[in-house]
Amino acid sequence: MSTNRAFRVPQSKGGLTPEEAGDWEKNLSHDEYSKSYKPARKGSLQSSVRRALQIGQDLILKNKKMLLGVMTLLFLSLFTTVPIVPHFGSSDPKVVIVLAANEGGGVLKWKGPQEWSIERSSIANKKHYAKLHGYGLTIKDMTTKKRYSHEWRESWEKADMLKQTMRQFPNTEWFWWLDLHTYIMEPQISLERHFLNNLDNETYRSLETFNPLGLPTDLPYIDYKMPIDMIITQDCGGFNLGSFLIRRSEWSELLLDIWWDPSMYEQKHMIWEHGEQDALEELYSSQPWIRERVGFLPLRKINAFPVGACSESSDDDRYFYKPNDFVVNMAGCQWGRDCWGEMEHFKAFAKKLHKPWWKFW
Amino acid sequence: MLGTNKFRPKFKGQKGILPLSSSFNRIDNFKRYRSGIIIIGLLILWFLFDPYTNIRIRLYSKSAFTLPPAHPLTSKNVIPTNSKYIYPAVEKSNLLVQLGLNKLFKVTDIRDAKAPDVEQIVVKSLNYFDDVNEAVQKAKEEEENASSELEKVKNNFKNHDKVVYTPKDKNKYPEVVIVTALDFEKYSNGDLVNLVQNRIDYAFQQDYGLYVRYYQEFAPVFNSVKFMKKSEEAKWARIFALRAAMFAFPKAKWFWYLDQDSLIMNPTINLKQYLLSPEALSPVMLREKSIIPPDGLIKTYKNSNAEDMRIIITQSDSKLETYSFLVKNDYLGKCIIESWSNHLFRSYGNFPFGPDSALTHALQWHPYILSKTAIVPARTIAAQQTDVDISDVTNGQQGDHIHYNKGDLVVSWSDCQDTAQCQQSLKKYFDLSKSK
Repeated sequence: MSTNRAFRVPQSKGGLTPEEAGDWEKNLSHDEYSKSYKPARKGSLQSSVRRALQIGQDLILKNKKMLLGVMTLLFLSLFTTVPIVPHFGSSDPKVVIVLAANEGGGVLKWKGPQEWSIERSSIANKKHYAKLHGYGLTIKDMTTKKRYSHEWRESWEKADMLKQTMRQFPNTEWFWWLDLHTYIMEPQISLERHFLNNLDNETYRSLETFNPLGLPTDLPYIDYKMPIDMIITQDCGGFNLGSFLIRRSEWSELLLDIWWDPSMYEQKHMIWEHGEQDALEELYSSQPWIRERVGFLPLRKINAFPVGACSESSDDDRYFYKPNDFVVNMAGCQWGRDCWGEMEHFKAFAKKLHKPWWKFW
Repeated sequence: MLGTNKFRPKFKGQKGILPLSSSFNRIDNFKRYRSGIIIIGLLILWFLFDPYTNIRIRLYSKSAFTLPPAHPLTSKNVIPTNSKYIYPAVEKSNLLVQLGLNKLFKVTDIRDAKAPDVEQIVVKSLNYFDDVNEAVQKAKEEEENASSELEKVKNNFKNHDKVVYTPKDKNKYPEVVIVTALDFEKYSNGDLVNLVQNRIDYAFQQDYGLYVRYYQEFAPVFNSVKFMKKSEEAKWARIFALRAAMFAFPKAKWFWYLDQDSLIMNPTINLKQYLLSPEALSPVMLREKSIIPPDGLIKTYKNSNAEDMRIIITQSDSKLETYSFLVKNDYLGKCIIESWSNHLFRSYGNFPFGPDSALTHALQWHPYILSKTAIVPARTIAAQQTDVDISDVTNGQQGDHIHYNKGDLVVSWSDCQDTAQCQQSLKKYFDLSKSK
């Protein structure tokens, strides 16, 4: 809006002389006259906003093509993950949950309705948790494959899947492996608050206090000042890899590479019952570099067992789920126990635990 | 706007008893604006630094590291030294031969109840029986050392594992440390002195460190007193000597394992400029070179970066050789050395050449290790001796990239058949190196 326009008052004839105009403005600013319309004052908020809008509108109309380009880029950047375009807002997740699903994949037998149901519940549970805390989630298909077909070699698929996930999320630090038969009972707890922010105090590093396998507690050259790159738990039978975390580092890359070695496998595959779990125990018991970076959490912290697992030590409080434990792992339920029943039980129990107090129905 | 009237000051316009202080003029402003800004500022600070978690960590932290410190292979204690040349008393090695491994270690026969026919032995280092109190142990050893020469040699032998380099001036840390394992049954004490002297001369000239061990010191690892009889198995001690060197020189940048059957012939060569810096290594390292020469299926990477290399190793005509190789002393280098010395590799029946086969296997099966390993021509650090004069053979002919020629850094006679031949080679090349 142009400001140096002279105003015409209806009753006057012709243009106003500057002096008259000045008088007129003085009159206008008079309090008594304030109820009626008056020209917008220079520098008032309203006028400057209107002015800015006008300028903006003009700019938009002049540079339509440019604007279209900018809008497209913004759209690609904000709502997609295409390469080259810089992406704001969607920063990489700090933790990625790797969920093993479709174990066996219906190769050896048909997948029944119960299996489908377990898979649905388990996936929905992790999806909800990942969304709640902004974690990534990737579901890995563990179909029986020919290259893993010899004896227990299939359990080393884990290492390959982790390698794949690390490539998939190149900027994520922690990877949390979860077996299918797990259920996050307390989804409101973030991993950072639970233990990641206070790793040195939450974990134990040497086996003096709890050593179900009777592994040697001391090896030469171990430097325990190294940061923890892998967080695992021990159950009554030794290491449990149903729920563990691994951090991206040179160390983990070497471990994932060396974990399966044909010469070790050839010597031990008749003795190792649980494939990769025993292989890790073997590496842990003889290799100082593995020990340096492995931290243990108490089983119930991320991997509580239902009654039925670890039946030989069923009176030990350290293993079994108590209300308000974080994650429950129905380990071994596929051997003679009812996976679906246990899953449904914990699902219902979690729902009950988290029912708001004002809900009566 | 309910009830806003109630909260208005009641004595608006009234004056208090005392006049307002001049600095009170801004008290209204302060209340309205500053307090708001301060609260927002505090919230931002809280958000950024999260004092709650920090305080919680302080409050609940157990004493930070109650875990034991790293310790050497056979003992919980270390003996600091400020000499960067760590080697055993080689001039008295004849006394070690006289004592024999049965006296240098504690060897116990055990019989398993399940298999009583099988005779098993347990070989333990004498360090195992050290007094827990270091001062008491030291006094005891001093007494023993004074009593007889043999006891002194024995104590030296067992304590050598504990020696760690602790310099007075931290800026003078050697960048490269030469590691050698010696066999006191193969060479006489005079020969061993020459071998060590040759390395010290080089280390002194280039300002490097030196770490020498006896092969026999690693008997507890093999749990055998006869492991030296099988020469391929005994080779494993090299890797353990190297690992011990990494413990003794934790801040060195590179370790050069050079076996006893070799001499440094050209002490003017600076390894850093010669091979270790990425600019020097990059043109020398063999890319797309078969791990098993001449035409194994698995080859080194085409585009590997010289800066990533943790192991620099050479090949003979038929296999990888471990009598001379370099290892970078960073975390990954150490991890690779430790996984190389895995006891399951040592017990595996299909590794005819001990550690050489194990490394070949590791490179072929573990791409991550392969991507950190450089193969260089043998003449750089592991030139083999030859009786044939090759000085006038033209480039590109068989043998000239492997065999020793005048001016090369190293000459090695690791292929010598018997002890006499080995000693002869040592004498020949030692005289040659002195004559220059």
